[in-house]
Amino acid sequence: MANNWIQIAYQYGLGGLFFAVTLYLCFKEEGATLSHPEDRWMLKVLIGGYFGYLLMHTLWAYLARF
Amino acid sequence: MGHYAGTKLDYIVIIAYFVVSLVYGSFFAKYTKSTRDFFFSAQRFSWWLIGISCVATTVGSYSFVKYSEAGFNYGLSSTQTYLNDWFLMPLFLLGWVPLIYFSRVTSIPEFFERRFSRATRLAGVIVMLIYLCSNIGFNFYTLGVAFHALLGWDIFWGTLAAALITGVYTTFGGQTAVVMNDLLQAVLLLLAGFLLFFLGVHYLGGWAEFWNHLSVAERLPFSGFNKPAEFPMVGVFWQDGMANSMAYYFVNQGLIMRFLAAKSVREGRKAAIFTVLLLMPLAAVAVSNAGWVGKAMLAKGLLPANVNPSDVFVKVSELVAMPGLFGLIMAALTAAMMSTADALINGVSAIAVNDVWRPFLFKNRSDKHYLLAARIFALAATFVGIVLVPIFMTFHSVYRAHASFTAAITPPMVVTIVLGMVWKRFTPKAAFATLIFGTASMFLSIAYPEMVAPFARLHGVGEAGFVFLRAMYGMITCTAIGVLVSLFTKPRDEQSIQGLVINSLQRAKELFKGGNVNDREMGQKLFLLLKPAEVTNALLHPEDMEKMDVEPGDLIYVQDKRLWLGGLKSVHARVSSVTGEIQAQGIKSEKGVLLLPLEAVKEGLLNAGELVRVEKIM
Repeated sequence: MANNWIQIAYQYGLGGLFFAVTLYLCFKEEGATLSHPEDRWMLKVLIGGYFGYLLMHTLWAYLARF
Repeated sequence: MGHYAGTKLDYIVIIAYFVVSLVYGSFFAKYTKSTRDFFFSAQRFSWWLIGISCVATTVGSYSFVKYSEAGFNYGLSSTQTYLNDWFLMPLFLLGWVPLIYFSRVTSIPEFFERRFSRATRLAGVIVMLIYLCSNIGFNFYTLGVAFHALLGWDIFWGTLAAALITGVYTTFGGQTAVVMNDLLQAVLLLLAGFLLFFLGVHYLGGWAEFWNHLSVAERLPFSGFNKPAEFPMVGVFWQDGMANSMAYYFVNQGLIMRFLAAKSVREGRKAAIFTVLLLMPLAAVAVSNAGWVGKAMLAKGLLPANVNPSDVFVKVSELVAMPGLFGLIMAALTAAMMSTADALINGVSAIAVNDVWRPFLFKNRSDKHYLLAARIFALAATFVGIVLVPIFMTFHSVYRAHASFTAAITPPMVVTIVLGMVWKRFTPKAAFATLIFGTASMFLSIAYPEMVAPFARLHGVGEAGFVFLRAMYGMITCTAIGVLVSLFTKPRDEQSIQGLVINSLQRAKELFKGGNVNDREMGQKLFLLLKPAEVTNALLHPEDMEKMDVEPGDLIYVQDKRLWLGGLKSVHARVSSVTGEIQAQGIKSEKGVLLLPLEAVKEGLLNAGELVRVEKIM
């Protein structure tokens, strides 16, 4: 039966790598700092959004079988 | 293919929409008194208005037809292109938005000169103007094609009225008209899209009938990894998720000006989060669902087996639409075009004035002069777009030609911006080389597709999928050019690029504010009574200042108490301390009262003697 696990792994793996590297760069270069309340909020939102989308696509791929 | 032709009620709806758009959009001319108003709406808008405007800009007149066709061919995976933007958000939210906002950059080419060199700026001007103008024409053309398919109207004359209305309200109302009209248009296109979905599912006999008449493959969120060659997931990831999305958020002058119109960087960030997390998924459903419904109809025998996928939006609309609703769908298509074209027209005007007219041709003129120039350029951009329509009509497949052109210029621009933003070692010569040689290599790969073959073969994608993997080829090639040339050329002095690279963002904030930044937690937002006074800056009572956590010199934002206006009536101000001069004039700060200079009250179109909401910005 058709499934999307390779696609999800590729998009969230490679896309996730790009996401993580650029996030790290922004904090390393002090474009954002953990001492700043708004930057901490942004970090939570960004990571939350990544996992939110991952969850959405994973659930969707699972429910497509029914 | 026969045309629906439309009923009297449909035409009433369409004409009513045209009139409302023109009157409503032109109304905002009164908010446009300076070039700062015309291009950036005096940086007054709230996050939700900016976000809604962004999604309206994303959905073009071709979107409904194109994504319905993809939905019909590939099922729910047609949503892929709208749901892969989140990976760019760290760079966009933590890097690009604050950089351009705090450094007061007005255009991409201006960033190129300040960060790199004048030569890079000029290259950027040429590429951007061609890109923006061709997109304006493309949007006009595709609306004409849709009107022709649906109503049998001539392509050129069918789009002319809509094009002229867009040009008029953008010319007179500037960015404010663009944003406020986008609000109307976004509601309309989402409403029409979801109404079509609801009616389509109802026509099929309910959700179960719809869902069960799609195969498992058609219900999945992604297409095949490397098949079909015309729509492989890996190709969509690289072309759309990486290249096109980066071009959209980082290179699209019209969209960047939207974020620059936000009242603060924080609002701009919230707008982007709202757009990508909520509005884009909604838009994905709105533009694609006719294709899904059409596929289910086909499986149920309600559509002929030989139906052309590119006609499915029309066919489904004809089947489910009733008089009036069809007019609403036409209005939604028009809204989609207008909401995309108005941003592009405003973008062309911004580049023409800020990157050509003001710096090179007519220096040191009054702002009134530049505002007039801005309006003339907006009209000129509209005219160029209209002239392009009959030219596009002569091409066999303008979609392919336009897609190829866009694919050729976006990777070099994206790489130049991103490397320039994150890598202080990226040199001016490398930036110029990336733009020129990167673009050349892209056009070469169109002439010689075998250059893309290694990237396609790596993923097992056939020749028909080369067009998608060209984006991967472009990003890697342009990055290689940029890095290699940087290693052998001299970078700019670090002091000269302060505020233009991520590692100097704090400096950008200080330059923006004109002093040390108060980066503590945001204090309360207060409702205060507004009183005009003979003061130079805003005057607050010390207790109110403490609640808001502001100090003298901090920037505050003052808006009309009707928050649903989204910042339409608002102004920024600097907080002053009580000086000897103020005491000598007998002016006292009062608790619960905000004293503002009369000019600021007028600029913000605020009502003296009424409550306003006040918050700290910096």
